[in-house]
Amino acid sequence: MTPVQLDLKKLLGFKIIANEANPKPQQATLGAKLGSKEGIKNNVSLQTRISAKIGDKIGRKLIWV
Amino acid sequence: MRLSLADSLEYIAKQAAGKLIFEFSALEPLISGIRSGERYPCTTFAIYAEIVLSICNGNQDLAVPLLQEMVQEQPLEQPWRVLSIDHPVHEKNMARYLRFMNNESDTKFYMGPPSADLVARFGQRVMAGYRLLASAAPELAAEFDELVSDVIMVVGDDKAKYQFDGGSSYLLWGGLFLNATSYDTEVAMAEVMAHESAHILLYACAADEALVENPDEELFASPLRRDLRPMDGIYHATFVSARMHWAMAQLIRSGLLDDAALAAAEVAQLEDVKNFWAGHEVVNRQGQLTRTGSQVMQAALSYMESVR
Repeated sequence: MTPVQLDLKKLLGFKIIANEANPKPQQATLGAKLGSKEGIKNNVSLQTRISAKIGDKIGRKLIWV
Repeated sequence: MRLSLADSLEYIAKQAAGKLIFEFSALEPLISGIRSGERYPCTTFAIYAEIVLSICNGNQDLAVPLLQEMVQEQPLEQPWRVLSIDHPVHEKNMARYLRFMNNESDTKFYMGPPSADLVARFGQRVMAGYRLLASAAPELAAEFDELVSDVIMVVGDDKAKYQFDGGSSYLLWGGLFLNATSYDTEVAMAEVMAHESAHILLYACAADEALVENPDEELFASPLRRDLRPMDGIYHATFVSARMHWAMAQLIRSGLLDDAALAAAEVAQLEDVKNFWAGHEVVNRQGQLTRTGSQVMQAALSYMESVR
């Protein structure tokens, strides 16, 4: 199968990885980053925001994971 | 975001034509549909991300079934919909949702289906909260319409230390997961709609440039958490607090709230003030904001200063 070449700068959600002036160590190469055993890693472009309560005693206080 | 998705899909089709065993012309109706204003669900963004990741991971054979799945995506009939995670349109995506929603933290959240009774009651409450928002804060409700495609009802593990309340993921753009056992008033519902849609707005703001340049490994004391957090999380929380305040202020001014609801909105607003300024102090002192990050935070700061 012929490899498909993708320029990340042209791809929604991935261009900021490519645009980083100083890639973080784990982003130094996309292959290293995306090929990690953990799969999709935490990244400013690959992020999740969770609101949760810690137990029941803290009441309304929200956290952002 | 939606137009960028169409452009990205078109680019993938161009690059992969003749290299993957797939008839890329099958994507054209979806691409032209997005460009003409059709709204696709959050799964369309997720499948797209999985296609890119499979190709970039050197597993491009996995991209073909994903492309076939993408072709099956259907536009929404309304701007957004409220459905349980075990509804047929979501059930087949449950593993995908859990994968994306649990991608960031060491803390893993269970998201399961609510009971039918809970789905009925919570669905009604979502619509009541939205109607309140639309009456009291029409601009915010209109933004919610633009940003959100799916409100997905879930329940968490009630024995877990961390109780999932709600969340969103960049790669499920437009998807908003809410715990159907939470938000038992219209004010709370309106507030969470403002809150979660603000995260989705920030994801869109960060499509071309990150909001902060601080490394993810660099952790700071968060006014909103017991543990240390990356600057990006503190930035999000700070901005979101301003947006929640904005929502509460409009509800309070609307004259639509009864005494109990008014009191709840005022309590929430006070907490939003405290959270914003505590978060802003950390961002202002230690945040390495990009140009985009500075512009977005300046808008929130200007608002909060205007109501100080």
